[in-house]
Amino acid sequence: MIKVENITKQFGKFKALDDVSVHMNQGECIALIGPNGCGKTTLIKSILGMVLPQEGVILFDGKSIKNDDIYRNQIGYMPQIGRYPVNMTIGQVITMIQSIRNQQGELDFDLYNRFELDKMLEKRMGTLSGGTTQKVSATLAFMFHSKVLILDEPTAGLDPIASEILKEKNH
Amino acid sequence: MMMRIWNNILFLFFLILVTSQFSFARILEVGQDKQFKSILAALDSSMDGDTFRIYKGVYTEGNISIDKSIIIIGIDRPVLDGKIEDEIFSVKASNVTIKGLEFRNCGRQVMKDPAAIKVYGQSHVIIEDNVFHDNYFGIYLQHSEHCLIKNNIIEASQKRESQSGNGIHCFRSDSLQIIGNQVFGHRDGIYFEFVTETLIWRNVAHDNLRYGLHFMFSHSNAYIANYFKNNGAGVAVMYTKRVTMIANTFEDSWGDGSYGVLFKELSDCYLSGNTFINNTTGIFFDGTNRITMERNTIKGNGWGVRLQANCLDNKFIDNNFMGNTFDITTNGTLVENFFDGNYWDKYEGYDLDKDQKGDVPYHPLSLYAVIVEKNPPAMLLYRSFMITLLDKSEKILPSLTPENFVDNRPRMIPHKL
Amino acid sequence: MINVLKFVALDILKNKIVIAYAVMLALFSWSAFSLEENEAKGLLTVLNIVLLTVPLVSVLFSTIYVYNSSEFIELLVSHPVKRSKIWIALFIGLSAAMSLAYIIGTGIPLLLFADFATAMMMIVSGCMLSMIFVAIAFLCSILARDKAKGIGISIMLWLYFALLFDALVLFLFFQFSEYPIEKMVVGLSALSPIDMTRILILLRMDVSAMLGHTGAIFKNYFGTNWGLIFSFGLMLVWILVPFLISLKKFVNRDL
Repeated sequence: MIKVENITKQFGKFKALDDVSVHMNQGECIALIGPNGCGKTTLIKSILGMVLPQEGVILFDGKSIKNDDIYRNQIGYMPQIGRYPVNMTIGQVITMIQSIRNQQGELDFDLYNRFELDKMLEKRMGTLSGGTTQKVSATLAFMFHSKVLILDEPTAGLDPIASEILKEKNH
Repeated sequence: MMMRIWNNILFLFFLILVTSQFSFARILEVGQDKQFKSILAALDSSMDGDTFRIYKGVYTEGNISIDKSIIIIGIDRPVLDGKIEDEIFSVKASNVTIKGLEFRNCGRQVMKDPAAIKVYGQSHVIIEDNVFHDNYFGIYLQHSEHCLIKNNIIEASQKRESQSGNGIHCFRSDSLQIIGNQVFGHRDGIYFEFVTETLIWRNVAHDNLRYGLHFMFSHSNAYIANYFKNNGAGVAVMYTKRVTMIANTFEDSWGDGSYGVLFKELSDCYLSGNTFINNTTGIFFDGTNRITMERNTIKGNGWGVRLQANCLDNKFIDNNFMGNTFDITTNGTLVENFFDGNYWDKYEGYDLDKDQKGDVPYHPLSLYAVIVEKNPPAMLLYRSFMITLLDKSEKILPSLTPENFVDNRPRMIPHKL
Repeated sequence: MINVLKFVALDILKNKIVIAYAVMLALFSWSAFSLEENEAKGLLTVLNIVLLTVPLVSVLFSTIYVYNSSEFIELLVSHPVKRSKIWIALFIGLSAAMSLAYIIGTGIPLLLFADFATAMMMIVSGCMLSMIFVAIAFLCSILARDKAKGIGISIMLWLYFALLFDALVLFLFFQFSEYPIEKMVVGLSALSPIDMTRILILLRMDVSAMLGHTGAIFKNYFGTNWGLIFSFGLMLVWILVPFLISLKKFVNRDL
């Protein structure tokens, strides 16, 4: 489903990815493990098109993701550290992403309900703790029934109950 | 008793003298149903001292040469039409009075300079209460003396300078009085060349194609309470001595090369109580010497006063400078002119001893004015932020503007003029 | 893109600085027209304000805003939105906000006090000026990743156009005063949008007579209808070039 072929990414003098190739198929659950700064996040960001590799191609369903954005409709992404516009409320962020995705059919409000986000819709993103921010990120990642879920350090910063909920959701 | 008889005899003698005069001077009536059908016919049978009464109607008699000392009075403003062919009245006798007529469409032959009324070397001619409409020249005096031109309305509507003569044109004349006339739409409103000892009082010249007032080599004249507005190039006066200008207004001469007043090679003149308002250049001094300018108002002009470096010994005393873009500029550095007690609205000094005079001398010349004078294209930077900064810094630390260009006793509040 | 623009616009409208900017412009303009003795002088004062504050506020506010939008951009790029659309939406939002603030603050008093043609001219060129400096802000913020550096560059550019450029022109006047440089100078002033706006508006006013020979040349080139179209075209170039450069850089940038 996702084919990463021979990609190289260099930030200045530092080579984050050096000729990396990975093939990922539908139904697979893949864990990227490695020490800090080994390029896990860079690879993820490359797949999302946020980081543009100098060499190599990334194919999604057989099509290059270069200059494409539609394929991201099928990805739910939960960043390691979610950064959100500080002046927007949780409710506004969720509404905005919904309107941008513009997805037909039922949305997945499971996490939304279980994290009890409906009780703090008016809270501004800038005032949230790291854990609550992660809850928002997780909710958004799962909301659209995406075929691909990319979770970057999903349980980091979450309280034990929330991380249990998330682990449960992953199964 | 003897005394009384003598008195009576004298009185009788005087009476005879007066009535005999009357018996010689006749009244000739000109009109459709009058004694004379045409002015020319009346002229033929007239003598010195006769009075013409011309009744309402349009008279197209070509050129009329007035060679007798007569009085011509229009009743209900008869019209004399030159049909754009002839000069209308050629005055070739002294003691002629022309009153209450309307003159139209005199000829336009450029070489002959025809006028509605032209006076050829005569004296004591009176031209009063007439209306002039679309003539080449309106009133033209040459080699004449002691004439009075009063309360005439002189108007033309040509668009081009070459098709239009001057409203009141005087050449080599002396002791004239030009009072209360209105001139508009001509080339120059009032034009003098070699005219001396003349009074110009309460005239209005506006919307003329070139100058409202234009004179040269015309010494010892007085211009009082005249009004010049919106003339193509304003007012320009040249090569003259001893001019007195009092209480005149020079207004709305906007345009490149247009001046409230242009003084070129003038000397020993006195200006007081005049108003220069809303002109590109209020007063332009070029080669002027010993001019005293006091108690004038210079307001809302682009350049209030432009003083060329060839001007010497001019005095500027107790004037009001208000709302001008540049109050004063000069293209020289050595300045032999004198400023005292003027009000400058850009002055920012203080007055601790409350004598109405600022305690800090004022340098009216701004740095930008100097820059523009040296480098006219720099005007393109007008109102640029950089220029404002430059001017401010120069005011605090003068370095480029001449040190002796100074008013030592600038006034704190405007003079009441 | 409409979707993104909607959220950008909502966010900018909530921003108190834009409102304060509009109020400040309104205060200046109203007081200029009511304090100066005639309309022409009021217009000149307003012109000074416009030429100084509009570029400064536009460039500074936009630069800071773009830097502060980094989270917003980052949030959106992981979703199916084209990068160029995000950037264009931001640009349109900021341009519209700055222009709107200008129209409300300065445009209304202009329409009330000045004659219609001059007022329209000033409104249109003021809006163009706002957009030009928004575009320059986009370029600044893409050139430097560091916020402080980016703001520094934007202030320097403002200083250059508002001040240094004129100083340079003045310097050239003196260096080449012996040569007929009028035409060159006229061409040169087209290189600074602030100068061009200033002269275009001055030419519409009485003071144009004071601009003399050089002003006449400028009028011949830019004052006619075709010249006006050309000069607005030139200002359009001033908007498009910095923005398109920034857009190209943004599309090929790691986030």
